[in-house]
Amino acid sequence: MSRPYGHNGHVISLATAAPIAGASFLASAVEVVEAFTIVLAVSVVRGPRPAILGTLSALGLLALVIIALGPMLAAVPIQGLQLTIGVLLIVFGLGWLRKAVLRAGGVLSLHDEAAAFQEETEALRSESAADARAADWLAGLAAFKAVLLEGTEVVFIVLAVGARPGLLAPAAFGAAAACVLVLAFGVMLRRPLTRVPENTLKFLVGGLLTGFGVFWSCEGLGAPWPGGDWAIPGLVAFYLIAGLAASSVVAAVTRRTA
Amino acid sequence: MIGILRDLGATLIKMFAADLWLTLVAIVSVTLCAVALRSGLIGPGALPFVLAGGILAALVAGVAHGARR
Repeated sequence: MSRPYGHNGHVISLATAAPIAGASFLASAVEVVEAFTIVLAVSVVRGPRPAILGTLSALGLLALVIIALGPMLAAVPIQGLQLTIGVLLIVFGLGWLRKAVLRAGGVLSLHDEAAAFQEETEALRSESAADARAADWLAGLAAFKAVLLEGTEVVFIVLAVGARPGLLAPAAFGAAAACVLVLAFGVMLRRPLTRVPENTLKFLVGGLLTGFGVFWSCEGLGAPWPGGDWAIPGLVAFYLIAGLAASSVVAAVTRRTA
Repeated sequence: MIGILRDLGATLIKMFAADLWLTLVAIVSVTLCAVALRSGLIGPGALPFVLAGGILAALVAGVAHGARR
């Protein structure tokens, strides 16, 4: 059933690699869309130069972080690493799932890329009114900050879901694919990617990360799941169904009390 | 630069403790499972299901808590 393939001597199943790449792709897509909105605003107001320079500087810094942290993670005993990463994934995933449920239920407002673009554009235009050179510097800094902050979350997700031997490659592939796809669409459309269903993506990613977190926490505690890696899709489905049920209940209660 | 570092710190805090209550419940659930396993209260065969149920309870409680606010 599962077709194993090798990577540096480690055999991983498709049941593990596919959800890892998928989780990394979806989570990265959410973050890259948010960063792209700010970079686009910088590009529209001050031209492509500060936008590109700010983006490349942040990507360079993030690459250095990965290069520094990657070997350090490899030196940590695997069980301790799985437990730590598992708990962090549960905390991170539950946070996203809870927020997505509350947004779907109408308790929290949905994230609005068009509004974020408008806000950033106005802020940059008011800064541009003074000194042009300083404005370029501030615009570049805004792009740098956006890519660095959103990229930090992408780096954590890639390192966390790829923390088992042989899984960093599918995790990194998922994130890279998301970056390329979002940038390609963004450059093509030249406007904020408002039609990306951000809350649906956050909901899916929340379920995926929580499922992975529970799976790895159990492995780290020395109590592996029956069925091995095949338990991961089951766990993800379990939390997604629970999230859907919770959002239906919250939506019904919100409608009744409105 | 200070502003960027401050925002970076805020992002890291937001990632793991946007809802401190939910974070604490999740950590306590895993810790309790670890203690129960070490003390022999639950076996390694049952632990995955207990932890999965505990995390589900944390999600439900977190949603209920957020909806009330």
